[in-house]
Amino acid sequence: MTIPYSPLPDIRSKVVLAPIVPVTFSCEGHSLATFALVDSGASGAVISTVIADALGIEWDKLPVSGGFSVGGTFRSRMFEHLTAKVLDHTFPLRVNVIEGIAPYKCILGQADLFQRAKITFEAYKREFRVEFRKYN
Amino acid sequence: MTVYDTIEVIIDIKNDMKKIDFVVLLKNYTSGWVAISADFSKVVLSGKTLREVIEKAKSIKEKLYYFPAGESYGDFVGADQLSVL
Repeated sequence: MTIPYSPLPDIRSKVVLAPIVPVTFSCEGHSLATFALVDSGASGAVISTVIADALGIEWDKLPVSGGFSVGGTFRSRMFEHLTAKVLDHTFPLRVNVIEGIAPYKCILGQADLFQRAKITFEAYKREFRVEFRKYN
Repeated sequence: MTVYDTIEVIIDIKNDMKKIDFVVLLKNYTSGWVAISADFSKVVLSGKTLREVIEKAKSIKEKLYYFPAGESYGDFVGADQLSVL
């Protein structure tokens, strides 16, 4: 499926373009549909604590670990029992729940969506393509 | 172009997703969270917190997508280089 880059707001009256997909998370009777940044530079999926709360994840009881990104250090907690549905494809998902992430509250990366689908970015066309792998 | 190519083109067209334009959707929302319709065309509900919007949405049967309002995306690393003034 070809997906146009999404225009996103910025306080300086300019429009930012980003590859965004609709995603539905499920976890032990809870479900939440939102939007995720598709980030080829992200090692794995991350969600904010706000989204974790909405999914009934008791993230503050999970072991905390430190991490770092280009933006600095962060505190994260691994949660392994989430299910994600992206474009009618459902798969199990390990996520890092991260405190205070902004502006994106949800990011899918190399260890998850990129394992499930061939993703082709065509930024010059302002679109990207997601082709899920076929399993027997 | 063979008939199979034509079918692939038709499938491709059918498979394209419409643009989700958060600039338009969030135009009237500067903080909190919103619930967006399943066809991504309008904001159905809004509130100060995600929890509040989810609570409001309990009476609505349509699938809703939750998204924060009031975020500024231009400061995300590299975003400046892929923007439209």
